[in-house]
Order: sequence, then structure tokens, then C-alpha cells
Amino acid sequence: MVKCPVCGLEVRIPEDAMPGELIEHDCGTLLEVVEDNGVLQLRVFEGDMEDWGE
Amino acid sequence: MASGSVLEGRLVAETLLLLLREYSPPGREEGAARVFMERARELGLEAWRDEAGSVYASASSRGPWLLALIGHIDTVPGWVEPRVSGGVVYGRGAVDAKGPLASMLHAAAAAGEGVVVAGLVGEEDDSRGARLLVDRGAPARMVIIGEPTGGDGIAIGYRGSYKLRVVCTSSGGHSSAPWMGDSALDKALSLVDRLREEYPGGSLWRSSMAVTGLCTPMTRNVLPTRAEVWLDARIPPGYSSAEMASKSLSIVEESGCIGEVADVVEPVRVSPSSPVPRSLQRALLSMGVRPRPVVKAGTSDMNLLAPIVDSIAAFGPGDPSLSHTPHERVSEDELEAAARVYLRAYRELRRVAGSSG
Repeated sequence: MVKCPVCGLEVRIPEDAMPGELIEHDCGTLLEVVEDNGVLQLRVFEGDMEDWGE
Repeated sequence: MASGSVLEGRLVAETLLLLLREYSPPGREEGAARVFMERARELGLEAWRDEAGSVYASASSRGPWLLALIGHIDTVPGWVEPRVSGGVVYGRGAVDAKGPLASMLHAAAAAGEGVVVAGLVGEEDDSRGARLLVDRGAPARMVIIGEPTGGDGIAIGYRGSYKLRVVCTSSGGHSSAPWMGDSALDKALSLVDRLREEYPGGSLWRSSMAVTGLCTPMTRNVLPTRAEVWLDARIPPGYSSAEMASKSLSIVEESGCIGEVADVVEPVRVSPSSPVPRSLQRALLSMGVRPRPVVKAGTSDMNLLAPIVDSIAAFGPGDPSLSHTPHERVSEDELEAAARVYLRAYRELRRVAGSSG
């Protein structure tokens, strides 16, 4: 378990998670799995989700 | 069919070109449906149609299937000459959405019995293909919708929509003295302003209201006694299209006009960590592509199918900003990459299903 960088509550990273995977926390924050010295961590996803069209 | 890996971009492009040569606006999908089934059989798949006219293909027509790859066989109207030049395929629907459908067909040919691919009819009109599935049930509990997302985007949300038809009437008058008369057109224009205040748009996270039609009797010196306006409302995830439609009808009634709502489609938003979006994320990451979650300004069959399946997302090759334009094009490389993503996403779902079951 790691803590959500926004709300501070615990977030479970799946055992099979890959660096770059995105996880949506219960608080609504979109988190990106990152690898730090072999340990999986979470950071807030920075990107624009808005897209045009169908 | 030429030899080579069934996922090879050149072969997927051949399939796409065959589909593009059959002009298939809504209601005229017969030719493209026939080509889809012929090509599916050449790829070693069984192919069939449902009562709506939608086409299906799978290594086994019996099912059950773990994953349904659902695209659409119709395009918006407007002929764009199909051609291939420099590894790029051009034509109406190359992006929206015969390109994604061609990639799906080849992925299904490589996947085996657990996948069914569907080319639904009427997506660009009344979604009659998807609506039949809503009545009958989806072919699988896991669904990937084939729409252009740039090959790296995973669509996890779409805005909802409804159509609003308004009729305003008045007693009319002479156009030389409009302050003495009563113009139905003025009433309609004031109402449009009022509706746009309520639904200003500006980003996909806010409701918008577009005027798509305006009709009055054409007499140059008479204040119109009747004005008919068509509006297209788009509703972001987190809101209810039905509630918004009801509210806009109230505004219409307050203005003294008559309103009629049609084609109410609710917005959809799924978690990027739910099974299908996650399988697409992992497929892209395994190919060295950073996944990009997107919420779309438009509406697709995903809105209709989301409530009847366990997990869903949209993904496909092609630049979505080219959709519905005369410049639709997609490269062989994009088509092949998308076919590989579909296949890897299926294998990921199968891995997870195997480990949990």
C-alpha cells in the first residue's frame, strides 16, 4: 500500500502493475505508477483528458 | 488473400480499402457488410448478420466470447475517393471507423475463438445496430469499441446527447414595422440565446447546445409566423441527459414555443483501472506506447452499451480530428499497431480471467 499524493489515503498498487499504468483513486485523482529504485510508487497523472470527436 | 502475418499493416490496409470502396452511409450498409463477411471468411473466420443488418465474425460463431470488438460499418455521408499512397489509406471512413474495424477484424483472426468482432449499422444516425444489442444483450461482457483515438488514447468517457426540436408560432406582421408585429423567428432566436446561456459549452466538461437547423417561411417582407429550430445538446459525464432535456423543455415552454426531445443518450465515464481500459493500457505499455486516457466531446455506441456490459472502453487507429472530414486517412503502420493492441488486450483479459477463475 502507498498513500495517494492528493488525499493521503492508502492506495493499493496491483501486484502485476507496470510502470506507466494509470490508476484512479477513490478520491477521483488519476495516478500513474512509476518505478523508483525498483519500488513502484504513484504520482499524479499530468495530462489533458479532453479530446475531440467520437 | 496475400500471404504474411494476419496482423501485417499491408494486409489490414487491403481490408480497409475493400471496405472503403463500398459507400455505406447509414441505411446503405449492404455492400460494406457483404465485403466484411467475405473478407472475414478469407481470414478463416465465420461470419453472420443480425436482424438490424450488423455483421459479426469470429473463429467460432457459437461463442461464448470473452471479448467483443465492436466497430461500425456505416460512415457519415460524403464520398471520398478510396486510394492507397505511400503506405497511407484515404477514403470516407478510413478514420471513422472502417480503419478501426479493419484492425479489429485482423486481430480477431489472430486471436482465435475467444473474440467476436462486430460491425454495427447506423452508428452515425440512430445507432440501430447498438440498440438491438441493448435489447438482446451484448455478445460478450468485455467490450472494446472501435473508434479513432490516435492509437495511444483510451476513451474512458463520452458526453451524452439529445436532440431538441422547437416550433415557435406568432401572428406575424409587416416587416416595415417589426415593433408592431409578432415574429416567430424573433421568438425562436431569443429562445436560442436563452438556451445557450444555460448550456454555454466552451469545454467538454460543460453542457453545450448547438443550433443545427433553422427553418422559416421565406417571404422578404413578412414577419414569419412559424419558425422551426433544431438543436443538438451535449452533456458531460456526471450529469443526466434526461434531466437536462427536461429542463430545456421547461425553458422552451416558458418562451411560449413547443419543444420535442428525441434520441436521449446518457453520458458515460468508466475507471481507467477497470478491466478493459487496464488491458488496453497494458497492451500499449508492452509495445512501448504511453497510454493516454481521454474523455470525448462526442457520443458513440459506448454510451449505449456501457450499461449492459461488465467493462468497456474505446480505442482505435487514426487521428480523431480527421473524422467526418474529406481528409480522412490512416497509415498501414497505425492499422497494424492497433490490431496488435487489440490482440494484446484480449490476451491480457484472458490472463486475468484465468488467474481469477
